[in-house]
Amino acid sequence: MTTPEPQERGLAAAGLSLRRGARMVLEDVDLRLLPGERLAVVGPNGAGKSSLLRTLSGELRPTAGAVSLDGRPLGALDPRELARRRAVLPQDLELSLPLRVDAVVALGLLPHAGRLSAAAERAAVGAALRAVGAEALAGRDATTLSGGERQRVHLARCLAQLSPGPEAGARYLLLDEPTSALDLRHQAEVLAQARALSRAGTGVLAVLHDLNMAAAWADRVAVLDGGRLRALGAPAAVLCPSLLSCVWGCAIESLPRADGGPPLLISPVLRAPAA
Amino acid sequence: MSGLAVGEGARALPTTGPGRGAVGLGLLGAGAALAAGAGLCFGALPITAGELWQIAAAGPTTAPVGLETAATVVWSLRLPRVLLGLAVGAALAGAGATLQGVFRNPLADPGVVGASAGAALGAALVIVLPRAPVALAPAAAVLLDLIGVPGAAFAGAAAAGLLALRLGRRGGQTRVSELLLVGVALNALCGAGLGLLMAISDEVALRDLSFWMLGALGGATWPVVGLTLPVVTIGLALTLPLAPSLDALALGEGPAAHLGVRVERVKAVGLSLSAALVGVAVAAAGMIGFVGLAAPHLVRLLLGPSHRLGLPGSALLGAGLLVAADTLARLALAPVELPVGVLTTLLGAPLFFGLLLRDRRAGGAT
Repeated sequence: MTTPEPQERGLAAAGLSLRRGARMVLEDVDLRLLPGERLAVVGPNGAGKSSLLRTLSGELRPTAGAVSLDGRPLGALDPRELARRRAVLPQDLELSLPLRVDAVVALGLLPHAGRLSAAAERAAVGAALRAVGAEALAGRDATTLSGGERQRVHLARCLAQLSPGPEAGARYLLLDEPTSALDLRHQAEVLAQARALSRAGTGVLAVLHDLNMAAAWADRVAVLDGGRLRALGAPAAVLCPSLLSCVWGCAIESLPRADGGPPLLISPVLRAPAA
Repeated sequence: MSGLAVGEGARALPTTGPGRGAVGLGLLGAGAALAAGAGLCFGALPITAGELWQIAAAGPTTAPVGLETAATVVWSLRLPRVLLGLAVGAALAGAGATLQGVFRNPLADPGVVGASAGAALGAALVIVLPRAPVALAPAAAVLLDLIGVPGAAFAGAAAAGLLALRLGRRGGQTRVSELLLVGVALNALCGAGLGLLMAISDEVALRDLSFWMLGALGGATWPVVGLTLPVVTIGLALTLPLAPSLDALALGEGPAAHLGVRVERVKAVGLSLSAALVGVAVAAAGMIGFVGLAAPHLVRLLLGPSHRLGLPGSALLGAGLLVAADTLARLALAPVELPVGVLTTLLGAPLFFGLLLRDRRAGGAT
């Protein structure tokens, strides 16, 4: 495989539009997830965040525009080759068979079938479960897990999917609200895990609801509004109260932090009630 | 954060190593062989295991002294019947396991989703309609029976399966209620078609048709076995490579595609193979219900939910179950022979009710 030109690297959306029924869910979105980068996608409900992720992953075919991986259109890639290089954690996690947790994580190795020994597969499954702190769940029936346990187990499946290497080209991980069902400790641990992956060269895109979390975790933040990309850049530049208040349609304030970190963004819920 | 779920009563499941799977499949195979042996020995003319051994050793062309009648019974009646039972049972159970994977639903039995009825209607069309024009060439009629009937049964099963897959889904998911409703409609439609054909058919065709309504292995002859057994063997062998993809499909169609599974192709191949298996099974033995539901269900209990063991295990168990059921059906009301389809439905229907109740208690999410 030839190394892609520097300007072609990454998982890139060019002029991406998606129509579902009569509604334009995405309109003319340009976005490039670079190897080793952490990109947070934020936006109000219905802004098209999940649709963007599902189009970037190849699950939905764009109405206009194209998605490419290191310069090659997604459609030109063999599905298994694509699966070895990009994993997806969807928002809705379902399972129609009572598979054991370790068997669910082992499904992540499906695109590598025939390339790993049984021992290497077991090791990869164990490492992935440890990475999300779920090794104690390995023998459980995966259909009996709580929401948070399920989210971590499926993240482990994604980690297993990207773990075998080395192979030419960078790897990409797409996470749709990976912390929505997690308590505070597990939120921090999952995002730390995603950070470690990005430091090892994987490009990580995460749809996040918590703006402070996005500011603290991401290298760049993309703000989606009504299917359009309203802003894209460093958290400090993008997450300014005026833009956010305009996009979310409510007053969002920022509060400086004593430790000099990025200012906290305060939702209207937290404001003291008017006297 | 280790030990998180221990306090929550982490339910330890039995470990499923590769060794355990091989042992389980071996046991199911041994059970099928045992059922076949019993099917050869039991009947109106009882034959002991020792006599059976002598008859087998003498070969199909000669008979041991004193066992001439028994040898004829074994070679021309019981052996083709047992082999057909093994093939039909394996085909129905293998098709059931495959369909359940494709539909992502443990209730998707070939009979429930209407595939068996579709196959029966296809087969009946060939039996009844062209008989008059083809009457001029007896050789053509024989060929039509042997190839045309299973071919039409395959087409009927495929059409019904496709309809069930299309109509029983909403938003990429197959729901029990919708699947069952489509099955009810397809079964009613095909039943009406069969009734119409019976009304316009002559007496010979009518006798042939009533055989389809009940499902029985009494029509087992060597030519039928010769066609059915190879098709079933090849069809089942072709389903095995689908197992990892069907496991991944349990995550949903989107996530399976993210793992590199060509979802549409897997569904098309799985449905076609199931239709072929149901088609030859129905063409040879009529509508035999609930084998395709019971065998995969029992195998999931014995060997776990993965299709890697589930597909071959279901085929082996289905083969053994149907031969055992047929032997029981021959003996139960002797000298009257109970059609085996009646017996499998009597035993299988309560299991189906049980699964439905369990599904409802679980919230009916499937």
